[in-house]
Amino acid sequence: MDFLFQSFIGVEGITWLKYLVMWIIGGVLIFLAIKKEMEPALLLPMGFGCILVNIPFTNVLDVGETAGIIDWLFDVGIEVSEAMPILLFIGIGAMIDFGPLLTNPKLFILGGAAQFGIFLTILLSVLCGFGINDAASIGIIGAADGPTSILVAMKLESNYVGQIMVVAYSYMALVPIIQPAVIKCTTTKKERAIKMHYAPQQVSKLTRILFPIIVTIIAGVIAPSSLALIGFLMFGNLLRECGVLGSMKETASTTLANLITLLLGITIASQLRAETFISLQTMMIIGLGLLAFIFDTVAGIMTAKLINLFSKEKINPMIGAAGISAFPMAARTVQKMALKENPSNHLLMHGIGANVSGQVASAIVGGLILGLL
Amino acid sequence: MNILSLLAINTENVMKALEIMWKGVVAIFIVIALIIIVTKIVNKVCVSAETKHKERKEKETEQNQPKP
Repeated sequence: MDFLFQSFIGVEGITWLKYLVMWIIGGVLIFLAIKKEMEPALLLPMGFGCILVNIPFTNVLDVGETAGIIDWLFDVGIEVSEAMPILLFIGIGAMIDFGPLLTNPKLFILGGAAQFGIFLTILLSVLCGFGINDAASIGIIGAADGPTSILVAMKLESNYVGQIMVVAYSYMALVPIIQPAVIKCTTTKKERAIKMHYAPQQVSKLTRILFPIIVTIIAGVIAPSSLALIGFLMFGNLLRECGVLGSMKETASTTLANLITLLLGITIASQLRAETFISLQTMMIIGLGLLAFIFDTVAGIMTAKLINLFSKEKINPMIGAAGISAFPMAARTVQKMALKENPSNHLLMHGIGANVSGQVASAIVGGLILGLL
Repeated sequence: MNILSLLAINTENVMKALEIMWKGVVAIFIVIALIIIVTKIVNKVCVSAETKHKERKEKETEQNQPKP
């Protein structure tokens, strides 16, 4: 009882208020994960971890010289080698089918264009008073790719790693809400109803096997800093396409990905500490992250419209919005919207093509930014 | 006087952000263009090689079949 009393008077009232706010934030994340099913694999561990690390005087964080489990996970899994986000890319690579992209490589342009928001957000963040490393880490939220955001923010030693991680994953979960509004504002009903036929051309097995190797070599030569992400993503994809490592592909895309996602969520929570999280900068990062997603979506749509000016076969501009990396939510959102406009217009495969190209492009852009800084 | 300095914005950071923007956009499109070109070439070569291989196999099977 004495200990409890000492605990309460040992921490100022204002600090307790901050802890309370963090518990509420944790509760909201858990609510969104369970009730709304928004990225539950990440938001649930993050939400619980948020509560866990904001209970004072516990042994989950470092106390003096004694290592706390969550701090240890963060040090080993993220801070020292960025192992967790990089290893997660093996799982993501094993899940991705590049078939729709190989069928229509033109879609790669949309994936690249949809990264423009990252650069615009970096500029905006600098104008908001953030240092260049923090600004670049905030901009990369627009990659709509959690592991890339974590890697860039960690490598650039951003002061806002926790905020960036939470905002990145939260907005990825909110893609089905953010994108339809942006798409409706930037396209006409006629454009949204453009019908695209999916005619899968022949893609040889050898091409599917060579593709990850080609991308690794090109990205590695031009943007060496992106190789950790791209290399592991493509390694995962090679496991999938080689056809002789069925059980490894299965393990990478299920067990490995699940295990790392589970640990990543609770490890990220170590950065959600009341002392640093509740600040004006956090609010600004939330706003800038939203802008990054909006700019990316607009850039993708506008590029699709630009291509239509020169192309015989018209692209539905909504496909451009799927160029952001949030896989596969962005493609699904586009498919849903297309069916609303025209029930016989199936854009899923085109959307997936743009979506996976966005996945590759965002990892390359992450590496490019690291290289440029 | 520079507007940026009036707004207490670090001009050096703004210039760096602009540099990242143009270099990043150019680099990503170079990478993408290369990937598109190489992938198209590889796929064309692979598909034609596979088609030829199939045709050769079909011919061989036809020749090996006993004539009635």
